[in-house]
Amino acid sequence: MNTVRFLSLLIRTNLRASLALRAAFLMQAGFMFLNNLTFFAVWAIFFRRFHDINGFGARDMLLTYGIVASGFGLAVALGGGVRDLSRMAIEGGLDTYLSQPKPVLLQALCSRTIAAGWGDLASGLVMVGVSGRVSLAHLPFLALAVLLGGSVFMAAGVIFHSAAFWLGPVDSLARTMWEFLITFSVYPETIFGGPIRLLLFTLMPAAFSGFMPARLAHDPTLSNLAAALGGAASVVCAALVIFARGLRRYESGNQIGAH
Amino acid sequence: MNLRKYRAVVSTAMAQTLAARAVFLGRVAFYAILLTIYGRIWELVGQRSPLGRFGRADLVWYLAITEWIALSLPAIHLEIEADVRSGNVAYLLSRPISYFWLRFAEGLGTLLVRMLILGLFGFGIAYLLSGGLASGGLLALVCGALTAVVAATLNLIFCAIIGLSAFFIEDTSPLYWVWQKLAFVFGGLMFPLDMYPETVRTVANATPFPSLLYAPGRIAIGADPAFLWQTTLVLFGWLVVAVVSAHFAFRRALKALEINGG
Repeated sequence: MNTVRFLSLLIRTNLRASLALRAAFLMQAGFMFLNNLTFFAVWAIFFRRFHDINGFGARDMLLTYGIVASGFGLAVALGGGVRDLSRMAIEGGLDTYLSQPKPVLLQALCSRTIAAGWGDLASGLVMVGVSGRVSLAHLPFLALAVLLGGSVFMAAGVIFHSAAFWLGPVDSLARTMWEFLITFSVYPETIFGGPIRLLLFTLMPAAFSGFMPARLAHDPTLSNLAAALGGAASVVCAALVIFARGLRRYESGNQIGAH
Repeated sequence: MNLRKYRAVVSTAMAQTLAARAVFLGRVAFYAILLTIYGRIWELVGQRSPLGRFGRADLVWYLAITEWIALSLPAIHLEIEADVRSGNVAYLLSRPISYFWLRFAEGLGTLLVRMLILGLFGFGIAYLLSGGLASGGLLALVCGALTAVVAATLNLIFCAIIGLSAFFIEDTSPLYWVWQKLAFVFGGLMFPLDMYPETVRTVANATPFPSLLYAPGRIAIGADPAFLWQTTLVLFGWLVVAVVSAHFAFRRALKALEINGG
């Protein structure tokens, strides 16, 4: 219970931090909003001409992209520290958190907020609304889908960055892997087959950050709920285990600091 | 302007970029994944409806050229922004070389090496995915590739001008994002402007963006010679505009720096 309360305090602190520099916050969030809409403008032109890709149309793309943008936005707005995790791991940046009586990973993740994430979240929700794929009665499932998508992004980020405990400086590689995950998440599930499809359900879990949550929000059947929940839970568990194992290999940087 | 010192900067930046080979791995993989995804999309779409005047191979090669340009561009705006934020610019300004063109020359060195390496991999992947060359053949590909190098250089100057905005607004990323996304939409990053609605195409043609991405891609997959000449003229026209704009923007930036006291 203490940890849940601690988490809610961390989230509140990050919200305050985001809002502290209001002009910068609004500009970053606003530009990210525009950024996402521009991306979709190209797809709107595409679908206007070709109608659909193997049954995946403009509305499906809006829904999937909306869920991905919202989930990713939520993840980096509340847990922006994930992007610095590999650097913390090799430069001794976890020292400060190790000395505190709360989970190290939680503190490291919530140590930073990325204001543009709020723009992602807002534009994502607008896209979902415009897609018309989610009925009002299914709004709780939409919230769950965004939460699950965000958890998978966060967990996958932890896995990619935790490689630093074994491999050393992997900052650039981990960020690239994360970009791959975003890229794979927004494209239609129907285009992938064979080994790539297998990859998307395992090592690069785009299925659980994109298509599965989108399917849950649109059609919240028991099987879709189980698939989205089960997938997200597996990735999160894997991230916790890998980080915990990696932390055993962590070497202090003898840093003195306050967060 | 003594070009020898700038040539030296370009070659030093090339050597430094070549030394950081591991960095290319991610970029090459990203390039390969994008080409694979779009190759598959065009395959699926082509099975159900005609792709217009282009074949699947043309569209894969088109993307290979436009992404080649987009992925090769170094983040020169961030370099300039970092100099301004750290105060490093004050030291660089005292050197007997123009700060702006020094950063541009460094960026050009990086750009050329990236284009060489990404081109080798990307063109190979495009060849495998499309099962051969685009309908324009080898000559068209060579012409498109050469145009792409000029277009990327032009894009680099524009991005460096965006970097100069750091002298006024500190954070250049939002401006860069807008520029980048406009380039993606109006430049026809994912597919040729020929496939766009007429109105969007008209708006796009009034901007420099088609010269930056669409024109090299279109030439590479086979365009008539008149389009090649027209593109060459337009590109050099925009190059003049970019160089003159850069000159005046840098002068304005220096004045702003004096006002702020460095």
